[in-house]
Amino acid sequence: MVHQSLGVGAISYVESHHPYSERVLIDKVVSIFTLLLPAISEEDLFKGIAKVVKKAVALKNNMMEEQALYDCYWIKGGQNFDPDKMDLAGHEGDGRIALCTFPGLARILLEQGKKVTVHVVKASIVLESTII
Amino acid sequence: MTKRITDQTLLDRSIWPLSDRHGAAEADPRSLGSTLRAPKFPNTQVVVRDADSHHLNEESEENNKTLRDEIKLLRKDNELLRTSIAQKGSDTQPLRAEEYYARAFRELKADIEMWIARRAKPQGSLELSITAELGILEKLASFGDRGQWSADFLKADRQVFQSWYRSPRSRIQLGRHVLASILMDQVFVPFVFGLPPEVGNALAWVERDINARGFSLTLYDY
Repeated sequence: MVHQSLGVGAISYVESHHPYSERVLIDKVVSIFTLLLPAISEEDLFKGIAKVVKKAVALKNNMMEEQALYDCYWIKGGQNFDPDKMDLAGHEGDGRIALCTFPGLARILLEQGKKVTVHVVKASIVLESTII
Repeated sequence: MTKRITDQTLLDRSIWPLSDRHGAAEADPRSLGSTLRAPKFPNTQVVVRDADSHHLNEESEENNKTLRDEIKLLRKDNELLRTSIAQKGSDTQPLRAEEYYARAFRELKADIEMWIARRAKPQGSLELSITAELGILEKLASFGDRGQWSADFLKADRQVFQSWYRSPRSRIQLGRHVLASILMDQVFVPFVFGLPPEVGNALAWVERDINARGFSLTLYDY
């Protein structure tokens, strides 16, 4: 309830006070991808990145308007593989985690005052042994 | 004459005094005055009692009217409360099921995977210039904590970054990693996307505090 009320108010604040946030982020992401994928035209990069950013923002806003608590989690490189909250994005292998290629989605439940985490979608990771 | 008392005798005896009195009154009107005298002056007690009862009637009618109005008001209030309770009940229902979010999240992941794969693969084997590498790491670190972790990790062994970039397969993973970490730092981790970080942090703190301690009613005691 608290999460939902604060979230709805904050979304409304951003819509009226920071209406260009999405555009600013898209431009920043395009600028990094022009270095990473120099052969791709800026227009093509902008189109693809805009679609992804808009989708992500809409999903985040929907989660904030929800009473249930959703939390996205990230896996830091160098950790060991944990099948409860991670999925292998590449081939099977062993060793430590090299990269997290997509975050995980968890639902937070409060049961008798205790926080319980349910992993709804596991984070995608690549192991060091499979990437090189 | 015997002392035998018949039903007729009893009847006669019970009637007699009345008919006798009635007969006497007819005969002497003065005797009637002693029992059924018409009042020459109003009986003040009776008048006061009449006035009181009239007043009481008026008062009780007024009370009844007030009560009826109150009942109407309470019924109306009750309806509003019922509507409000029903509304609150529906508000506590989730807006969307968990599956909706799981599907939307997987769709986003698939979009990124496909978009990066289509653009990174056809370029074949590539070399990354030092300028481009430093530019990427600097920009990545500026997006937030995950970007910083990633930049630190990739900076630690520059050979690894270069070799990952060279191969199309690992370049695809690298591209996905960069885009996903930016989305985490800028969209999914902040309290609300687009909110100035200090405001977002303050709201997140307030939420955590309320969840941990509940609403503080003692606040109003000060």
